[in-house]
Amino acid sequence: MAVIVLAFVCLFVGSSHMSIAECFAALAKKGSAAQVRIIWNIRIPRVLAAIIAGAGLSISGLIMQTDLNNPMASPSTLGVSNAAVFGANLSIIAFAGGFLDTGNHLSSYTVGANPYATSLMAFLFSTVSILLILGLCRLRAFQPGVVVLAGIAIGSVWTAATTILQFYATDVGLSAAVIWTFGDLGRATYRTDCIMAVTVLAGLLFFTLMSWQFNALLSGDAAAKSMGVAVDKLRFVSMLLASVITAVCVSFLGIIGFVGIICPHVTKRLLGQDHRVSVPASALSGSVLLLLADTLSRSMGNGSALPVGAITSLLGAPFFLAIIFSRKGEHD
Amino acid sequence: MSLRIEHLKYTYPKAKEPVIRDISFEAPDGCITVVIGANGVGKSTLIKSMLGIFRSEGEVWLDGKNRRDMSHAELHRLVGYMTQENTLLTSLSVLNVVLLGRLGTLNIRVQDEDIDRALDILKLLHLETLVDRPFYALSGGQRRMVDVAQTLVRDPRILIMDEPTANLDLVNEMQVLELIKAYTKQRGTSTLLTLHDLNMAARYADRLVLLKDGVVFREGAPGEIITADNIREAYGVEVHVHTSSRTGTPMLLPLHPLQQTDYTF
Repeated sequence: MAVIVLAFVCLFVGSSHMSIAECFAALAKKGSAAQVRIIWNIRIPRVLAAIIAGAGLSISGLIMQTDLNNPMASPSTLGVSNAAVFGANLSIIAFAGGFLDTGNHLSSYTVGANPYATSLMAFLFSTVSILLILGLCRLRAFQPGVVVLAGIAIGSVWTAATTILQFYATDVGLSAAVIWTFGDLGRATYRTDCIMAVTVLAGLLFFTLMSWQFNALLSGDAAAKSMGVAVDKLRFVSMLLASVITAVCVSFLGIIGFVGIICPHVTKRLLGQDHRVSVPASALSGSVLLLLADTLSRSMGNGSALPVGAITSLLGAPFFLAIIFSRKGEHD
Repeated sequence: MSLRIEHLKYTYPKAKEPVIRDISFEAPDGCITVVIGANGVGKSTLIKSMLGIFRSEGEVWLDGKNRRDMSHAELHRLVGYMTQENTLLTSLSVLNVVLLGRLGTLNIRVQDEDIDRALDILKLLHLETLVDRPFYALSGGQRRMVDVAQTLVRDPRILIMDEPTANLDLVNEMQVLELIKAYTKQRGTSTLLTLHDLNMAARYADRLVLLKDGVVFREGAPGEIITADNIREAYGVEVHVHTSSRTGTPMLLPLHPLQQTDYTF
C-alpha cells in the first residue's frame, strides 16, 4: 500500500513543477506533449527503477545476512559494488565509454558513446568478482567467515585498482567516473527496468520458495544439515543470485548504498526472522526507502537531483540506529 | 530397518592418527543402543562419519541399504539426527523451529497436518505453553527439549541423537529418555544415542557400546558393560558398581580417578 502511494507521490514530484492535475492528465496521456513525455519517459521508468532496485538490493542484503550468518553482510560484502565501480571507471576513464545519464551532468562527455558500455563493463567486473570469490570458497568448505574475508580482500583489490586508474585519469574523465559512482535512478529506462525486474523477480521467487530452508540455516550449519538442508549448495546458489541482483542494479543505476543493510534489519527487528515474512517485507521496505529517498533527492536538489545513495543513508541511518537501540527484538 | 556399521575409520584432516580406527556394531530394531566412552574418544565423530558429514572409510547400512547409494533426501527421510552442537538463537517461534524438522514437506503455507504433529510432540514434552515464544527466549534446557521435538516430529525410522540430554535437569533428562524409549518401542526404530551420564545410559539402554582408543572396547547389555573393571580401563576412574534390586540395572558410584594429582595451590 505504502509503495503504491509513494509511487504516486514520487511521480508528482520533480523539477518541472507540474501540478498534480497536470500529472494525472499526463498519466492519462491528455496533457501537453512535453508533460506526457516527462511522466511516461522520465518519471515512470524512474519510479519503477526505485521499486525494483529497492526491493532487489534489500532482499540481496537479507539473504546474504542469513547465508553468512553475519549482520554486517550486505550486497557489498562480496566486493560486488567495488568491482562494479572499477568496471565503470575502466569504461569511462580508459575507453571513454558512455553511460545512461539524466542529462544533468557532463552530457557532452557521453555523446557518441554507447550508453550501455559502462553498465556492461560494471556488470562484467562484478560477475567476475562474484565468480572469483565463490569459486575460491568452493575449493574449501563453504565457510561463512571465509566468504566474508575473501569478499573484503577482493573488494579492496578493486578499490585499489580504481584509485590507480583515477590517478591517471583526465579531469573530465575523473568527474564523469565519480558522477557514475553516485547512484542515480534517472538513468533508468524501460529496458533497464525490464532487465532488473526479471532478475529481481527471479530472486524474489526463489528466496520465497526456499523460505523454510533459509529459516533452517538460521539455526546454524550443523543443525540445518541435520534437518536435511544441502547447506553448501543453498549458500552457493543464493549468494550467486543475490550478487547477480546487486550487480544488475548497480550496473544500471550506480552505487546505492545501505539499502541492503538497513531494510532487512529493520524488517527483521519489527517482524521477526521468518523468511516467509521477511523476504517480501524486506522487498517492500527496500522499495519504500528508495522511493522516499528518490523523491527527496529530486525535491531537494534545486533543479538537479542529489545522489540518491547519499539520501538513502541520510534517511535510513537515524531510523536504523533508533531500531537497533530500541528494545524490540533482541536478535538479528 | 536396522542400523549396521562395518569397519568405520576416520582421520581428521592434518591429523596423523585416526580418531576412529575400526568400528563395527549393529543397532537392532526396537532397541536403544547407547555409545559411551571418555571425552575425545570419538562418539560424535562416529555419528558424523556414519551419516556422511565426515568422509570416512567403511560401510554403513541403513534399513538394509548402503548409505553411499542413498540420496541426500532419502537419508533424511529415513534418519532423524540431532546434533550435539547448540542450535543458534533465532527469533523464530518454538512452533516454527519444531516445524523445521518436517522441512521436506513444508510449503510456504504450512499444512494443518504438520502443525498438528508438531503440537502433539510439544505436548508430550510439556512444552505446549511455549509454542509462540521466540526460540532465543528459552532456557538452555528448554532449547534442548525443542531440538528433541524437532528430531521426533519428522517420524524417523532410524533415530540418531548426539547427547540429547545435555543441559537438562534430572526430571527433563528422564522425560526425554522416557519419550525416546516409548518412541523406539512403539515404532520399532533403531535408536542410537550418545550419553555422558553412565547411570542414565545403564538405565535406558538395551545395549551399550563402550569405545576406547578408536575401537569398540566392550559391547553388550548394560549389566555386562557397566563393571568396575571396564570403567577403570575405559575412563581411568575407580568406581563401585551396585545392581539395583528394583530395576535390575547397574548403578555406578564414582570413587576417585586412577591418576591422583596433588592440587595444592
